[in-house]
Amino acid sequence: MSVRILSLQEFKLLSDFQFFPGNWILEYSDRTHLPKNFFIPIGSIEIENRTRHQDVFFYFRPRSHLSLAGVSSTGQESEVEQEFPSFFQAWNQNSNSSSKKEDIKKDSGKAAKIILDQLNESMTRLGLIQSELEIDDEDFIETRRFALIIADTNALRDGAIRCLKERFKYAQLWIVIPLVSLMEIGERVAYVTSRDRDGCNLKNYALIRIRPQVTIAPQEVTWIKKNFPTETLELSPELLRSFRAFEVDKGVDKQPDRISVNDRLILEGIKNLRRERGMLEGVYLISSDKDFSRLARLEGIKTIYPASPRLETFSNGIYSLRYSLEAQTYVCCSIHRFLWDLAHIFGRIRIRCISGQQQGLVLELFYYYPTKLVNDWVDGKLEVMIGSSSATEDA
Amino acid sequence: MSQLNVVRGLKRLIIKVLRVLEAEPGEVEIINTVILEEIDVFRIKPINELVGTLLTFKQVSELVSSIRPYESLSDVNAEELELYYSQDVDLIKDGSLSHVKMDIPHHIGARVAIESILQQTNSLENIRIEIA
Repeated sequence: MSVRILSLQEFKLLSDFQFFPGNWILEYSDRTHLPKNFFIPIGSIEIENRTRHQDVFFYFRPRSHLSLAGVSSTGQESEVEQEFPSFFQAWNQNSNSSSKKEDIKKDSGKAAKIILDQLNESMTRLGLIQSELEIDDEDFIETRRFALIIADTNALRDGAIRCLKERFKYAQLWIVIPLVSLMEIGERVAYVTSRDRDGCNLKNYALIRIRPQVTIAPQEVTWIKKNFPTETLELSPELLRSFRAFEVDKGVDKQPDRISVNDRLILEGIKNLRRERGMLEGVYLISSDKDFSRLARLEGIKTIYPASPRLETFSNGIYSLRYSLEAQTYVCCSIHRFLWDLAHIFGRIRIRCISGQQQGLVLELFYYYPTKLVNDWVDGKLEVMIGSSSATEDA
Repeated sequence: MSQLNVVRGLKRLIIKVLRVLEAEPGEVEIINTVILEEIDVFRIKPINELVGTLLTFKQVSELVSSIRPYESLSDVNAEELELYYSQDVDLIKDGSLSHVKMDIPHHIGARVAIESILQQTNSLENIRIEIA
């Protein structure tokens, strides 16, 4: 395998990494919860057409998403076992003798749901699918073409702000990033790093949900700053003292999310902001947390809730080009950008070409390569490996 | 039926979403008009044969699956490629806010636009779609 350290732009432009029509299998591996070099298939990519300028159009089809959706709602864990047998294989190899099979099945179902949620979030972020925005007092933004948007931590990674801009193309949007959200990102960096150092633990599949907060949110904040007038929602030192990092319960770390204290700090920050600026209208909280949005509405804060369509509603898969009726324009995602985003979520991804001109070709993108320097992190570089699979592997 | 405004040679595809008014037989109300610049309606089969006709939601759903380029692409040559691709369509790429130019095959441009319209209008009643 040939190994290169590349930026996204280099990955897009180098002739070694151009794609031709064919079918590919997409897999991930994660050293925090899977054995070394153990890959789990998460979907397939069908490259359909190639433009004159080397762009390609493709379909992404999550692996058996309809069946998995049934599992999450009905609790039929046996279907997960069929769809994700590799999970069981991995967990059985690593679990201690006291682990019950039922617990493993339960965890497998949870992991599958997290994977689908993250794929969904990624595709929203990249514009492949569009969230439907539920907006309080939508007429205000339509008519005044102005809004001050306070972004909840989840809105810094789930593409909600990109959807908002697509919806209100001509509006002047000011984005306010709460200091609490930036502190949460910092805490999660520490949390993910500590988990990573602890080595492979099968329960760490939950990190798939947290990692984008570490790997993607900082990039999204940079993008927001480049594209919108941006400011930080400060809090008084007295309030900041009540900020909560991840909690420890009986010596076991709890996942650092859904911390109601931090939500309260954001709400109080919004109220302070409105008072200071004398703004009764045009101030919105954007959050994909239903409970937080409901609470904010009860306290008289206008909210924007992005409702993302479920992947299983796309029966033919998700196409890389769509037409936005709101923005009256086409929206496209390149295959390179798509793979780049997935590597940030899963840590390591691999695609294998199973049919077409590039049959046998294998490409791996690795986020945590050992020689990564500070500038590489800032530039968002990845280790990209290219090679060919053996005939045995293909079979 | 609303008046057509099609000029052969002008690369443009217009999709009108209309509601049939039950109270006034023969009359329609325009709900939405989508104009796709650079996508040539006459280079897409079978849409090229349906220009100016009012189609039901079901007919359009069936139409989407049969859309293909006008030219046969079995032996692609340079001239056919020029006809296959629309030139410099404005689009948002990779989540960026600024538009970039990109070549989109005419039939793919038409297909994704019609799919978006179908998705948005699938809950409405008495809908007709006109392609111009």
